[in-house]
Amino acid sequence: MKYRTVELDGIVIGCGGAGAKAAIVAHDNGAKIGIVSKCRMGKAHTVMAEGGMAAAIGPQDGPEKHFADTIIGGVALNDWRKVWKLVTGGKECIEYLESQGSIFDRSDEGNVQPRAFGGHSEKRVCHVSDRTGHAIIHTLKNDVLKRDIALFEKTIITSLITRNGKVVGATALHIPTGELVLFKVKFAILATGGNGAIYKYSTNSKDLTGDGVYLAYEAGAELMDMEMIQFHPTCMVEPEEKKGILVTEACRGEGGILINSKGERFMKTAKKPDGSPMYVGKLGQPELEPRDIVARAIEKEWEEGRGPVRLVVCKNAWRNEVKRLSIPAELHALVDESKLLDDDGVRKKLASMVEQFEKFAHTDITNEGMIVRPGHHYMMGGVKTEAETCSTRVHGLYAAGEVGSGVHGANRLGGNSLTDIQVEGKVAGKAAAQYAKTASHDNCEAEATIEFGRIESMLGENGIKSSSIREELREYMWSNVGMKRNEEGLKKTLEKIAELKKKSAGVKVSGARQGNVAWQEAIETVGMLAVAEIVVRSAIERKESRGAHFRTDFPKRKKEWILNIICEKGHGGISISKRPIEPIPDNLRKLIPEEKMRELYGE
Amino acid sequence: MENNITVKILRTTDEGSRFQSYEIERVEGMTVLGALIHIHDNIDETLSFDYNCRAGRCGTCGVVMNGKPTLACETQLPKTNEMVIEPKRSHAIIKDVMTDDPDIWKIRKDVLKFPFTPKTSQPFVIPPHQTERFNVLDSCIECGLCQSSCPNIKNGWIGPMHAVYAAKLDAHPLDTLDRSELLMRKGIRLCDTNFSCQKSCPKGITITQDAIIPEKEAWIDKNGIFFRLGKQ
Repeated sequence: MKYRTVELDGIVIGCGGAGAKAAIVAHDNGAKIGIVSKCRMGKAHTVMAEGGMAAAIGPQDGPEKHFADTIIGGVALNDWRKVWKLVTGGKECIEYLESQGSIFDRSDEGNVQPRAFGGHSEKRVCHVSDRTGHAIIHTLKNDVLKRDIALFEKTIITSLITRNGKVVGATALHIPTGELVLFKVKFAILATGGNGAIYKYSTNSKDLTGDGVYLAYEAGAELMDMEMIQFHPTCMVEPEEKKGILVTEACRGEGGILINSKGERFMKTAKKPDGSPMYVGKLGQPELEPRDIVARAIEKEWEEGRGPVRLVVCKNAWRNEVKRLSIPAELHALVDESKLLDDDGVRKKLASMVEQFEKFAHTDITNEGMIVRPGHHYMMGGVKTEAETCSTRVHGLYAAGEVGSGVHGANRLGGNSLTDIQVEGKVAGKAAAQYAKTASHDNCEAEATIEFGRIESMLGENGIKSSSIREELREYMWSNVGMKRNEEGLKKTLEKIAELKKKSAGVKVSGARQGNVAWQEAIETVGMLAVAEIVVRSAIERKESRGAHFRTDFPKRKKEWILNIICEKGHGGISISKRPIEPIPDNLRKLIPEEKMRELYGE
Repeated sequence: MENNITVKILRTTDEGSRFQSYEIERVEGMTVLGALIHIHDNIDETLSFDYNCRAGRCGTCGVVMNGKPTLACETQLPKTNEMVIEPKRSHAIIKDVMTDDPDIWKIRKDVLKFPFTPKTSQPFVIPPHQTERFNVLDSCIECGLCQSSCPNIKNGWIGPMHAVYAAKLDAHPLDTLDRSELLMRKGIRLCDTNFSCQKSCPKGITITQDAIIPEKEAWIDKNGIFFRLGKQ
């Protein structure tokens, strides 16, 4: 078997925000490091993050408030240690990015000016217009390029090789040349992001196929809370090709309102059985409830025949919708027009949205509302890691960012992930470099030869196309493992996955080795099926509704389910267990308002 | 079929490059990328091309469509019965319309020898009106379409995309360095300001106006003479 061998202290898998940060920090702590990524630097999914990055920098704000908001938003499933790291790390992230030449949006006085976001009790989401992730990824990329960090772009890792519970290598395929590569390493940092590709409609880039979760699972690491998939409340609906593309939360953060086909501002009119408002939101805006709540509210309007739901951000657009839908005066009164942006404000603060709707939907968002509906957005669960090191139970295997778990609990607050990728990237990079100082390389050629044999065997004529398998999987996951789940639909999906797994054994990829996209897809599909099964099994296991996980057959939240669901590779397949969550220490518990504590913990 | 479009794609074969035609049905809102994905998934999985975000942010899916450098994911199918897809020019072809810019980071590393160097310490006070030009240049997605459209990328001109990055740092209100000298060494004098880069930018960045001309001006201001072609 012909392959190239590269020896390094370690590799970072993925070149998004978490991967770039981890590589920078590992390098600066003395590690000889490389980044292995499916896309080129600066093209990873971080580039799609829009609204901003949470950092408690306001004069009235502080990590304490941010901590409480994050735990409340995460419905008590969060790892408190990770949350505390997140909320105390935000300010440093802003300072670092600005030291590299990024400029966050400013107040007239010239200071960084955060915006409001769902579930945050203060304005704390710092942003660069509505392309914050873009600014961050290019800044980090350039900082990587200043260093002696080896880049292996357009390269997919196909397996991790372990010996005696230690990472010793990783096998890879370089897509442009079709060359096989063996990385002999002491550590690997997973920074592969989420799993949007297993859902039909997702905000995620196409590369997010859950690779990191699959690699970790196969290597013997534990996965946690994989049933917790966030559906972003607002995604594009038209045209079909662009269905699922993100419509940033910044629209609501900048005052945007949601109306149904009758012109009703439904998040304001909805009432609890006792007549009190159903949604309060933050900073006086019901649309700024956490994402799980807003997503369900929007989906309800569509399902009950009051779609399309429109998101209106501009004064002008509101006036036009009032005319177009003949919105009666009593509903008109529910909207304070002065809180909406004017045309200039929209063009400045939501520039990407203006462009996106103009190009894809031929809609001028300063003149009309945006049609929106929820879509797959984020994986709260992932590889189980320690808060202090981002290490897994496999020695030398680390995970940072979305591929990790625990920070966001059952529902992530907007803005927290851009902070998370940098905070965790730094933790993982430092810990891994430290580990490399005492760890040693080991042989892994035998394992590599077997794995390369598997990859090579995918090439051939007249086999099944992996695209057909992917399509069926996505359809089932969307229909049965989406915002609403029940035992029947979940079990039906498990059967489908089993059938697709059998089918996938017959996948063959035709064509040349060079630049073979279908080969990459065939490799990814194996992992996607495994990851989908883990999501479904975890969803079956959690017999309650909490945060993003909503079971129509178990619609209530239950105190006894304040626990993590752990998946690992067992002898006969996925082994599932439940694990208690470490209680929040008293000094931090005090930060959460009492009535919220009662609501969360039933105390 | 009346609603069909013929997609002619320049493909890499053992016998060299040749066009291959596919006939597909037009769907409402279909983009050039949508057509490529449809062909790959349903007709010919050996077709090679690049994309990632599908939303005009990552800048991976650049191709030349009917002679024009285009971001495939945000360009609707043309109204014509035929669409010709070719790889980005000034890029190396990996296979079909999958391309690569092998020198991109080598050049960037040269520019990064002049990193952002602020005149004050943090927290930075930057009134928003001072960042207008910076913000325009900062929205570059590095798709390389400007490089692909520039007729003067030769003889050592690193190209408009790299000038945008250097000019962005120069436009930072707190930066203390001047990168015009560097750009002059990297061939900016070969740019004949024909606006091809600016016209091809899918993000509407006014490259000639806000990157190229200010950098040339800065060099002239500093050196006090108009530069002559051939002078290093």
